[in-house]
Amino acid sequence: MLDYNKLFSKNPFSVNQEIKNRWFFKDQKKLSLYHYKQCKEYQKIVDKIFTNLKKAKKLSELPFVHAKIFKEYNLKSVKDINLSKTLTSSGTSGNAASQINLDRKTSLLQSKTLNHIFSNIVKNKRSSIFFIDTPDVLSGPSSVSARGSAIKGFSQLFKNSYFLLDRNFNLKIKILLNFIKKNKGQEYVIFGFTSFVWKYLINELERRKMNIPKNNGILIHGGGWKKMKDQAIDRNLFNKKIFKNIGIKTVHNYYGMVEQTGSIFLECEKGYFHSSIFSEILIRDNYLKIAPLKKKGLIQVFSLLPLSYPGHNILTEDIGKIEGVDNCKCGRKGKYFSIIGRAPDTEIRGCSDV
Amino acid sequence: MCDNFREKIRIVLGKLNTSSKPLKIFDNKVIDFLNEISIEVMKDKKNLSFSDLITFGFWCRKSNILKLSKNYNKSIFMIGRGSILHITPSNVPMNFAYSLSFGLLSGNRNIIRLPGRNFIQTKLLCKIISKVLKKSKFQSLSDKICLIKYEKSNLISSKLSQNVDSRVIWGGDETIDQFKKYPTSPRCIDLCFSNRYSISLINIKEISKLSELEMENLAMKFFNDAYLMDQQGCSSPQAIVWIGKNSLYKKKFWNILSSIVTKKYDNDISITNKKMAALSSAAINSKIDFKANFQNFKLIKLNIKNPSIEIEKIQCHFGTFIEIDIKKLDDIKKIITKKFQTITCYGIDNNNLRKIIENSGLTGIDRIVPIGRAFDMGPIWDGYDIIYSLSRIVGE
Repeated sequence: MLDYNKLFSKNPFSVNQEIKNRWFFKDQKKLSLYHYKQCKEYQKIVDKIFTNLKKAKKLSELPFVHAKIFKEYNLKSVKDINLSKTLTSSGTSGNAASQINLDRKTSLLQSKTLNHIFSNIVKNKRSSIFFIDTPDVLSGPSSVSARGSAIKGFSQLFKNSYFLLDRNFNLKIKILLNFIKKNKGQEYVIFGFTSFVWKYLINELERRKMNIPKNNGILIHGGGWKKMKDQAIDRNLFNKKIFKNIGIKTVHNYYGMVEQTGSIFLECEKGYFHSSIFSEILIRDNYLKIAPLKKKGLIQVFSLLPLSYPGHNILTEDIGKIEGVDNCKCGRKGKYFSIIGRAPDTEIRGCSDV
Repeated sequence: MCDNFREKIRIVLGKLNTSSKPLKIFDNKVIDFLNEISIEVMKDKKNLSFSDLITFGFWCRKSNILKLSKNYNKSIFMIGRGSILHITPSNVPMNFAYSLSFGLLSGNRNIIRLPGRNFIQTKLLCKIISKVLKKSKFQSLSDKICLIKYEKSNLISSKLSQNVDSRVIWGGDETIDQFKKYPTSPRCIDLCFSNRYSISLINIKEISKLSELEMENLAMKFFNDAYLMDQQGCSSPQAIVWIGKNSLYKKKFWNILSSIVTKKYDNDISITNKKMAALSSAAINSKIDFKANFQNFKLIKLNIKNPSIEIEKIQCHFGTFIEIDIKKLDDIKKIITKKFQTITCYGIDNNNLRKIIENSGLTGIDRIVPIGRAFDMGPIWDGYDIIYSLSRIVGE
């Protein structure tokens, strides 16, 4: 439906916003019309709360799905027979999990895109990757967790992969120490959920009073940052501890909805998240109007990947602001933004819920 | 095991384990007690910033309670049933005060679970109650009030349910379901206030007679009914039903309301988020083909073609209203279900509505009040007379 090969032939962060705008809207509209035809829930949302989809002239006019809907309904745009697996969000914060129905094509697009985006920071993929997770995350029924899926995707990209936690989440740091000793100066990757990296790696090394000497590892982490915010751990502190305890200088956070696995927003060396050619972001104010640069609001995210479910245009419950366009000092093009937090739970003032 | 549940209960005021002599309804001591609370609430300036506290303070003054007492036939001997367990909503700060008043006025001992959240006005009122209760003349009432707090717990709720003569359970449906599972004494009476649905009903012919200023007044009253509790109260209108034609006056009303809402309603990002989540969910869930009108995000109209009983399922809150046109009052029966509680009206003859309830056998509509009085609390609520229900009538 869309020309994905063209996208894979480009550097994901090299396109000026103005040029991107020309085709991104058209591709998004095509996707919207496709899901409108294929998914009856999406059709109802479009018909009842948005203006005519066919008449949409810009990105902000295209109908989105609220992130909560994926937790309440099982949305799909393909027949059951074509589904290969159902992803569920981690649900680490104890909330209901999102359900994401994947067919082979969307799955493939996701891992190809993830690979393509991470090529931007990981040069040597013949190297090894270490997961701050337990091997158990991969076992389980046909429905898999998003955590497991990301790990599966990554392990395919690297020559060797290892889990640094055992079943009981105990750290097995020897595996990493041995690797560093044997492969001095070599690039490698550590990957994990932000809160896992903090809790099971950093805190554990602190406890053991262990500091790994400086090395060429790259730490990629994402998801679950809400917990970190609750504990008042900011990027500075996090990265400082990573350097102190693990000896790693290169740290990249990423932001992405589980509904948009693959087309993640990568954090650059300057600490900003970047949209790639596969994704886009808008910020909406209290009135749902598009917020100006540097004004905070609800984050709306777009992805060109979801084909088997209408996850291409989502209004998230996260709050952020656009920091600039095309001019980040890291050199990447397009919009870059920061995340401020999550929309707090509004006080329910009705006569219910004891 | 059997007694350690008490350790998890925080007693804010009074004693949990005590017995008390029931009083006749509208006992003079109780009326005086409520009046002193009224005086204390009204005299302290720091209470002024809590309109709900002030409203209660004004409500429980002697003259108002005496007025209420006139609705009860003095020749019938009515006395308290014994002790009552009140489960108040976690999110309405002043509900417990009315519940307590009804419990006292009906002559009972009251164990009240206070809202889980820490509201300043709840705390202020608890302090006042404690202060007034210390006066020697009210000593006889001190065993009639026990205010407690506890984290949701089946054990505690079920233990507390065992020995009371009545339970007053202020919704939601889930809480009521839960409490119905606990064993109670065979004669225990439950008053349950479940999730409800309310609407406004406006006669276009009558509002066409209003001056600009009167129309503004009406819109302001509607605003208070709908927006003061983020449209989440059980009596907050979720829909406006217009009787008659003439879109000019409808438009006029909406325009005035829209400018009031823009000025007075504070819409934060969480509300925007929740509103969109609720609307999207309603779009999928509802069988009705509504069309949302976003002209003013703080005042979203959902237009529907035909009146239907399905509207009760659409409750998006924070200023989202279904708009329905009907030709004659009788057509209202097309939307009414058991879930309907309050109809706030303008230009409607209550007698005609009563006739429709009777003639069509409607199982819903428990309250018909003018627009602006959605939140007026009284002993008659959800179709019960609370004071009547909580007392024992000695027949002769």
